[in-house]
Amino acid sequence: MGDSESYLWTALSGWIPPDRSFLYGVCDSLVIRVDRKSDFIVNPSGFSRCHHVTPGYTYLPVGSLASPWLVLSFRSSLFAGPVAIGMGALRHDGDR
Amino acid sequence: MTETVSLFFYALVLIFSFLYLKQRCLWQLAIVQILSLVVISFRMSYLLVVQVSAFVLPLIAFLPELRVAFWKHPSTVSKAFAIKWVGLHLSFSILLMFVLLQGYRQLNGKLAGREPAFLHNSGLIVLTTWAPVLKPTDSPDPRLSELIAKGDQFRLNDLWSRDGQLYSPRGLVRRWKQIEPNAAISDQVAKQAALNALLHRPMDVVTLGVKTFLHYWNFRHIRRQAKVELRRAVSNWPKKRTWAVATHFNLSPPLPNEVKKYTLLQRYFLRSQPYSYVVLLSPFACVGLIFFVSKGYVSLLFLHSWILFGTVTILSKNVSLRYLQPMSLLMILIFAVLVKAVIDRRSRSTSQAAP
Repeated sequence: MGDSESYLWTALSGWIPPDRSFLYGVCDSLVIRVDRKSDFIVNPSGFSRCHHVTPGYTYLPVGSLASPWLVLSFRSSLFAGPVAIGMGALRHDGDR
Repeated sequence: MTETVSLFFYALVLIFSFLYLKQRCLWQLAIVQILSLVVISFRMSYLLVVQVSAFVLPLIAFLPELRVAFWKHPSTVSKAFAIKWVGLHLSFSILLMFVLLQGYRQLNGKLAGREPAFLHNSGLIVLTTWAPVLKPTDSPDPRLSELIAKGDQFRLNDLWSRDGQLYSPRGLVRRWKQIEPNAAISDQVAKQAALNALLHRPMDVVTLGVKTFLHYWNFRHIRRQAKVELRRAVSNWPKKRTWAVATHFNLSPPLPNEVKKYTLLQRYFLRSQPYSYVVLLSPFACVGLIFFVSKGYVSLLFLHSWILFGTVTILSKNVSLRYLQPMSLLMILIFAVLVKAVIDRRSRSTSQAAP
């Protein structure tokens, strides 16, 4: 799992890595605390979930993020569009 | 990962640095320092940039006044004025940096349950980075001297086994830790040995950096390294800690056929290799720029790009496209200034040619 493992281990155990900064791991632990089931921070590690999830579930957060578009201006939508697509691509790819 | 998050905050550091150069307000300097702290909290490779900037940023901001006071029209009044304002901003910047960085060291030490430090392995990291130039006389501890003297047994002089010297069970660090199990002492001795090597043979250390830079031009190696980094996600499976993390998140290793596939962004990453050479060479473009554009922001870009270039060459054990990420933003800014300089020059020559 490479670097991801180190940061996730900080999040899970409170261990502080001796060879890298600690804040990313601390942020991971906050994200895990807020949403224990979220795979947003785990997907970059290259692993996959044991259970099968439906595409609808995977893209639900992106869809909920996209709903405020309805009240956004055209310019804001131009910005929000690529952000949502980028997030979707990241979630789909499980890339680093 | 951390590269991306820290790059965002680094962009904010640059924005407020440019604002400070323009308006010279102390609150902007304070924001630069606070954001710099956030940057190093995510990625320690920015530490040198942050420390040097704290000293140099106020000097760049007041360079026009300093020029007038000490070179163009030296007078007691102008000198007193320049010294007063530069002194105020410089002392504020250095003091704030000192307080914030000490705070970080204290917090890191407290969280790790150890002594205050930026990183608790920094001495060992630098020692292995400069391992090929180490000599037994560099070490203040005779036990480490003896280990360095036996370096041939574990390829201490090999430029490309430096990563292994830090992480491998047969590397320098593991051997040294077996001799000196106290983490604080082993790191302190390692740091002192590395500093002695730098003080006694600085050119050898610079040569190491040059060799690292030249290795970026081994295209095959760079591509292979990029693939290794993408595959690292699965190559270490299963390790004890990996199991613990994976079990917590209910994860399983990817299937063999999934491992062979590259995702969209991974393919993009691999194909962007030629672009990264533009990033790598951007500090050299900045050298030319500093002679043609006498603006404070160019000096700042020059400083940052060369420090980061030094970090990825002299202070790196390996070559990787990932390491160039902080320089990518500077490259865009350097080329923006370059284009602006060309346009300004053309418009000036056009207006002069017009009757």
